Amino acid sequence: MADEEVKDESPILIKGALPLVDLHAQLENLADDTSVQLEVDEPFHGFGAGLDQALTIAIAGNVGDFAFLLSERAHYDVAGNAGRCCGHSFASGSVLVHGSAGDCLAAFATGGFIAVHNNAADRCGMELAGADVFVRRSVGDDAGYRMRDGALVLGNGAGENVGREMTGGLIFIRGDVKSTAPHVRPARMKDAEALRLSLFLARAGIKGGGADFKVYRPNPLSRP
Amino acid sequence: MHSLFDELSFSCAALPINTSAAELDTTFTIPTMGSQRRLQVGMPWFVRHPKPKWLGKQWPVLCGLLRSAGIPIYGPVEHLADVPAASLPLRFATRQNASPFNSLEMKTADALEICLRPESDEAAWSWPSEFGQVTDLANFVQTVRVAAGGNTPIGVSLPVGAANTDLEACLAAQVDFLTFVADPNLDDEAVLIEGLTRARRRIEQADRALPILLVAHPRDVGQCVKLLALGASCLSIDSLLESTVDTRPAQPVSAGGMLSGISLPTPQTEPSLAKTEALLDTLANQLRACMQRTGAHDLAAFRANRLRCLTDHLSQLSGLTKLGHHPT
Repeated sequence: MADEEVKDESPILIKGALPLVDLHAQLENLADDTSVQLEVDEPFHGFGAGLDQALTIAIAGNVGDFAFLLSERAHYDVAGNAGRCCGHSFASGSVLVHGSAGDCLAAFATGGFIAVHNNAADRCGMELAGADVFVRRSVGDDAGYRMRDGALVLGNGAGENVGREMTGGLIFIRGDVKSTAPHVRPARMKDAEALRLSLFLARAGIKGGGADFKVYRPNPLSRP
Repeated sequence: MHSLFDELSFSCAALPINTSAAELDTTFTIPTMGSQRRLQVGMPWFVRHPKPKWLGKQWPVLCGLLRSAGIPIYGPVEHLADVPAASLPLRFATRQNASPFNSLEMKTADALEICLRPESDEAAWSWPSEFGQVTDLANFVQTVRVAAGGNTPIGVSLPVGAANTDLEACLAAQVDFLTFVADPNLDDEAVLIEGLTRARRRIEQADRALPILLVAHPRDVGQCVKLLALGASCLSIDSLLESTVDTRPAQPVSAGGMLSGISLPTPQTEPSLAKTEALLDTLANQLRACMQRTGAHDLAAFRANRLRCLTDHLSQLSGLTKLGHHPT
C-alpha cells in the first residue's frame, strides 16, 4: 500500500495545564478536519473563543465561563459541564455538553447548534439571534429572554417567564412550563415547524418525532 | 455663559524647557495585557461618531487628514471599505451592549471597546445582562482578548462619574484602556471634572498606566487641553469637528424667463474640509504651547499638577490646588 493512502485517524492528544493563549496557538496550527482530544486539569475560562477552524475537539473534563465565544466551524464535545455563557455569540459549528450548563447558555449566538444533555440554568437562549439550541432536561427561569431569532428546544419543561421580552424565533417545549411572558403563548405547530423540530431532535440524538412538544412564539400584536 | 473650565488655569513652569514646541511628545500608547504590542496614537484626540455618508467624497480626504495627524476613529469596517489603504486611520471597534460580537470587527480593529450601554439609551447604565456579578468582567475580558487574537487592546466604556466599585472591577479585569462617556443629554461639567479627576487618581494609586479615553463635548480647544490635564489620555473632538465642516449649499438656480419663479434643484455640494484641517493644526499647536509653558515634555507629564483652580468649589470637586495656595 502506498504511504499516501495511509491516514492516521487517531486524535491529537493535548494534556496538562497550558495557558489559554498557548493552547489556542497549538489549535490554530492544526489543519482543518483534525480531531483533538483535550485533557486538562482545571476548567478554564474562554476556551475556544474566536477559534475559526473546522476541528473536532473532545474535552475530557469541564469548561469554564464564556467557552466557545464567537467560535466558527469547530465542533466541540464536552464530557463534563460548562460554565456561564457557554456559546456566547457562537457563529457556526456545534457544541455538545454532556453535563449541565450555567446561566445564559448560547447568549447572542447567531448560528450553529448547541446541545446540553443535562440541565441549563437561568436565561438559557438569552438574546438568541439565529442559532439552534437544545436542552434535554430542565432549564431555569427566563428561557428565551430577549430572543430574536433561531430555535430553542427544551426537552423537560421550563421555569418562570419563558420568552420574556422575546421578539422572534421559536421555542419548542415538552413538559410543564411554570409561566410564560404575557405576549408569548403556545401555538399550533405548523407542518414546517414540525419538520424542523424532528430534524432538530434527530441531530440532537433524541428518538421520537416531537409530537409531544408545543411551540411558543411571540404574539406580534402584543410584543413588549 | 459661565463654564467651570474658566475657573481652571495652567501654572507656568519654574524653569522653561529647552525643547521646542514642535518637538514635544504628543503621542500616547495603549499597552496590551499579555502581549508586547503597544498601540501608539499620534495625537490625544479621536473621532467617535464619523459620518462617512454625509461627507461623501470628502470622507476619504478626512480619513487621510486623521491618519497623517495620528488621530483614530471609531466605526465599523464598512466605513473604511472605500478608503484607500494609504489614508486609513487607526480604527477602534465597539461591541454594543446587548448585541453579538462580530468576528470581522473584532479581528480587524486596532482596539476593541466593550460598551456597557448604547450611548443613545437614556436608561440608567448597568453591567451587561450576561454577567451574573461584576467579577465576571475579568473572565469576559480575558475571553474577548483571546477571541480578538491576543494582540488587540481591550477596553471597557463606563459613564463619567461611575462608582469606584465599577472602576475597581475594570482595574481587576486588567482592561487595557477605559473609556468614559459623558451623557450628551446632561451637560454637567461638575460631574465630568469630578468623575475624571477621581478616576485618574484611583488609577495612579493602583500604579497602573491605564489610558482614559473621554467622550465629552468640549466647546473649544482650550477645554480640550484642560481635559487632558485633568486626566484624559485622549478626547473625542466630534463637537468641534462638526462646526468646521462647511456644508453651505450653492445659491438656488432660477430657471429664468417665464419659469423664473421656479427654482431648479440645488446642486449637491461636497462639504469642505479646509476649516477641519485648520482646527487640527490649532489643537496640536495649542496643546504643544501649553505643554511648553507648563514644562511638560510629554503627555504623561501633562497632568493635573499643571493646573490651578480659582475657586474653593472647584478645588473641592477636583482635588486640585487653589491658585495662591502653596502647600507645604
